[in-house]
Amino acid sequence: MALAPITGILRKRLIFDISAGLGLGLACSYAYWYGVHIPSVRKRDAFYAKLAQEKSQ
Amino acid sequence: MCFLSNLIWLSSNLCSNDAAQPWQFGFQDGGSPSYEGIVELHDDIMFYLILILVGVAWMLMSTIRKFNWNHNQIVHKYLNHGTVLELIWTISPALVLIAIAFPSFKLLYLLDEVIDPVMTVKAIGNQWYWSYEYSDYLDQEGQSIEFDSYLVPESDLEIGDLRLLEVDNRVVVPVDTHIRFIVTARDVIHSFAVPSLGVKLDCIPGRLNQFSLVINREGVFYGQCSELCGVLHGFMPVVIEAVSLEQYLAWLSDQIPPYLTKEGYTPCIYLCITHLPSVC
Repeated sequence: MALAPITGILRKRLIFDISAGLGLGLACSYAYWYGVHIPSVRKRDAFYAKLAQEKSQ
Repeated sequence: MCFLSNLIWLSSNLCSNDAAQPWQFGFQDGGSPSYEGIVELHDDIMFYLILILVGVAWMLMSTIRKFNWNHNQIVHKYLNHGTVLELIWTISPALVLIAIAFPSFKLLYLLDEVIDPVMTVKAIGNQWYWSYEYSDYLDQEGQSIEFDSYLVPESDLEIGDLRLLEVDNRVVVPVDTHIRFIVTARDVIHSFAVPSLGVKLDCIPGRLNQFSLVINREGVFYGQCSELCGVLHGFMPVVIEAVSLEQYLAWLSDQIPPYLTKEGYTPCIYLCITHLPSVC
């Protein structure tokens, strides 16, 4: 029975872990950015736009 | 169960005010550009924070799972040194720190600037109340507006008042006006803090600290002394009431005994109007 090659396992594992960890992290960061930050900024800007409109009337 | 349902209700009906709320999550609603800047910086940093948290957690879990003795009996005895790896784990955090540091410094220096303020309010911390001075306005005897601001005791609270946050005399200031606050203390170190305006500055006896403030909207903004100053440290709140210019002028005329001029304004109001040309 042929043995599976054991060379390069660590390197492959490291590259996979770094890529997966940072990739997942980046996905979570963008989820926070577009799911939390941008909506709150839009809400705030809408409030001040409405306030400015009320002041101008 | 009741607690859980309340928590769910709170999460689904997230609301914030210009004072801290029971079980509040996140920040209060902002009322000044300084505060908005602080929240923006917080969100910027959160982006990197989540990236690092997830990346490190993944690496940690993977190391525990894949490289324990039971799972992987191959000892990488020749992996004593990895220049590329070291470069990666040194340069990557440095880049993240730089990405965080520059917006942070920018905001720090912006908050520190007091450029051409229209009016000045002096806040003085005492054990355990605040004194305020509006030195731009003088009465006939040359006295500026000065008053003390004490906590309203629980027995005197009215419906809608906030316990431990309400004061007898609020600091009244106009909206959309560049105000300079000068803070100091008479006895021990206090800290003048109003979270929803992005304000927190130490008040040190014998020293004047200053910050600038522009309030974007009308409202009542609550804060508390934020430097442990003695036994009643938790009982000297700060309340800033931002009003329209007209209301501010009316408040001013209440503070100084009126003596009308031909134009119909008291001298102090006239002074105010000449001081506030951009908003009059």
